[in-house]
Amino acid sequence: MSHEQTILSDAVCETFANLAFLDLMPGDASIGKRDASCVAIDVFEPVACRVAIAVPPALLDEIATSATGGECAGDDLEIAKRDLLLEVANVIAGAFASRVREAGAPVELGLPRVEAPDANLSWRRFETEEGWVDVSLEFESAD
Amino acid sequence: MKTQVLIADDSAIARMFVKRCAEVAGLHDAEFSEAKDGADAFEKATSKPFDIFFMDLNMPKVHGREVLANLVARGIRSRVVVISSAVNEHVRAELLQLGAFRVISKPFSPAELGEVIASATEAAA
Repeated sequence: MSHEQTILSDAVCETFANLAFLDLMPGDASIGKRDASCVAIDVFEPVACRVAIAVPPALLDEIATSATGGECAGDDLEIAKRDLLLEVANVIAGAFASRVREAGAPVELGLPRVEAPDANLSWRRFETEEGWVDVSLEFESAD
Repeated sequence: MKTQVLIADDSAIARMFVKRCAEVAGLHDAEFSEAKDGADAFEKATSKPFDIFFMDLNMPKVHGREVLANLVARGIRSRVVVISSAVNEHVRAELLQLGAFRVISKPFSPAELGEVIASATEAAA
């Protein structure tokens, strides 16, 4: 695994453990599935790349319900699910960007956004007892 | 008298998470107020005294760094705990020099937040 993939893997596991109380185990390559909620975020500094995270509906329901203490339902729960996934992407990208280069390197992130999972990307699966999370890291080409 | 806590973050789920962690960490009887962007945060932080002010850095309307600088310039004495996913050593040092009480990187654990709350309440005593 590359240095960048190792840093990202640590950021993914830490973020899900602290924000969603989920223990993830890094697994193998995966195909980004269409039946998943997906968010992506651009990292501009210190490396130009894009991080995408895909979570299946059942697992997202579970972690959003847990994160909100079961206080949200209906439209409020849908908003909480979207908000949670955007926040997860933001935290993962921030943790990755602040560790991937030497301390003190500038860190600049874009805004996380909801998008459809792209099966053409390289996805890596993280397993948990409750389901799975797929994560993609794509670097911008130098051209 | 209840501990007055202000939580500023543009993500509702992040505000909820900070609140739940603070409660787990022992702030059961605190009175929580929330702000959804930097302008809202500055308005609320200057409207009444807060013992602890948890503030995200990258917020719409007014950046957290600017909110902190303006609060310090106004002589506001809340202990401002900056919470951000994009903190490196340079940014941390800059925020502490600007007047932040602590700077916490996301993702943080409830235990880490509890330690900061204990320091802030001790410093207030």
